[in-house]
Amino acid sequence: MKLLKLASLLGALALSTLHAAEVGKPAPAFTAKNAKGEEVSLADCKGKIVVLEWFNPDCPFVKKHYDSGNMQKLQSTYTGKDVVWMTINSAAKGNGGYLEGSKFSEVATDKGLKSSQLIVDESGEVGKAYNAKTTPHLFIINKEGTLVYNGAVDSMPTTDTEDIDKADKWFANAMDAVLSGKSVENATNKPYGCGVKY
Amino acid sequence: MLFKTALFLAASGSLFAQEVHSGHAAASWLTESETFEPGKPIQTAVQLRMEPGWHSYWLNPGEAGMKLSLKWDLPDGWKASDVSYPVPISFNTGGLAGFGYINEATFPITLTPPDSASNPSQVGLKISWLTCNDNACVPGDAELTLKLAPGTPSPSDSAEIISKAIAEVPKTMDGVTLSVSEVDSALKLTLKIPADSKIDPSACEVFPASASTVKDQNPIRFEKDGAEWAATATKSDYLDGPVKELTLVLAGKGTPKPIEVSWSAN
Repeated sequence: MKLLKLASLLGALALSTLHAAEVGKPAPAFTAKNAKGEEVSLADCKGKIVVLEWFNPDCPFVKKHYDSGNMQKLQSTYTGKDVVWMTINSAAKGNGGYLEGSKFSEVATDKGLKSSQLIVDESGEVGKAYNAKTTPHLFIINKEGTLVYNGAVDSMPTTDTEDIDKADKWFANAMDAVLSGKSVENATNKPYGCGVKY
Repeated sequence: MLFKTALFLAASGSLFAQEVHSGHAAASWLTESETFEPGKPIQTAVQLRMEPGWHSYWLNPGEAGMKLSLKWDLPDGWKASDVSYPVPISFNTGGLAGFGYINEATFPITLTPPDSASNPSQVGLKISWLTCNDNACVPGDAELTLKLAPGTPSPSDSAEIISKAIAEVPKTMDGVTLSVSEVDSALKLTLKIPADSKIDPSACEVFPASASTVKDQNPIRFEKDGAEWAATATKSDYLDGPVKELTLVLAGKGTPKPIEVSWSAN
């Protein structure tokens, strides 16, 4: 009996990690350091829409959306609508694209990032809590703290900037739906990009 | 003038198929013949050679990565087939399951001149690929051309490489069928093979060619189940609604030739 209880408890635990970041469920809480070394907590953003964007400066899929200015445009559009946008680098020290805080700030200035926060997640804790798989990979958390989008920037998994205009804008459509209080279509889809380099 | 001719020969001769280096791979375009007959398909193939430590990707790249991207510059009336992918290997890069190639991969493409083709023709192809290693991903691209002249086809030095590559592309086989049913979050796969075939699905490596249908990190293994073969696959998190289509590739020791088998609802 006891064993059974333990087994079911373990089962439940496994299940909860498996579905740590599931659309429709509360977004996993986290506290992490930003590029300036300050603590940033998801809880501090209560009542606001939050975007989590996984980033790696060396990844050609990330470059596609930055060299074209697409990601910066999305950042400035939505931060202009009171959305908190966190750009997160979960590459481990020694892995390609790892950036320590000051270097991350430099890269962000250089590329013209318009995010609200640059998060240094070298332990990969935040990335693993959300099961962030690729760079880029985007999540949207609504004002109630529920995860409402987990997926790609758009529908074309290529590195070609010319494809941006041709693609279905899955992330932007989801943002617009959340901002206007509508339900999000295609709320879970396969992100495309490079590995996160945990 | 002489120099120009020599250069043309070097560029068009299959022995000297131009190799274009970009990123961490080099691409060249081979043809079975430098000459063509109107309306008759010609077999060609793009060969990609990866630097040690780097891999490129299959049609279903897995959890990250990218399949090939091709942009054509075809003379009037010429047609190009889809690119065929040879059997991949599976790898795990930074915790992500992937399917693709190391060292070298040859991708067959069939070109068909129009019935009216009677002039020397130049076919252009821009091919883009992605290579990754454990630490980084770097794209590459190449603008390749084939110069083909009307005439009786004669095998080039690449003809053998191309026919070998074509044989290595998975193909459907009479009597091999797949059916799929959903059982909770799993997919139950049932494979039928002709009784007299030399195929042993339990000894095959199984690759999901359909993206976002099954979880790429969970290997599929078939086991004997009466007269049929059964396997369980995990549904992909990205499967939108009920499963509609699944294509598998079976390769390796369990089959004399790589097999492609598809199922679709309805």
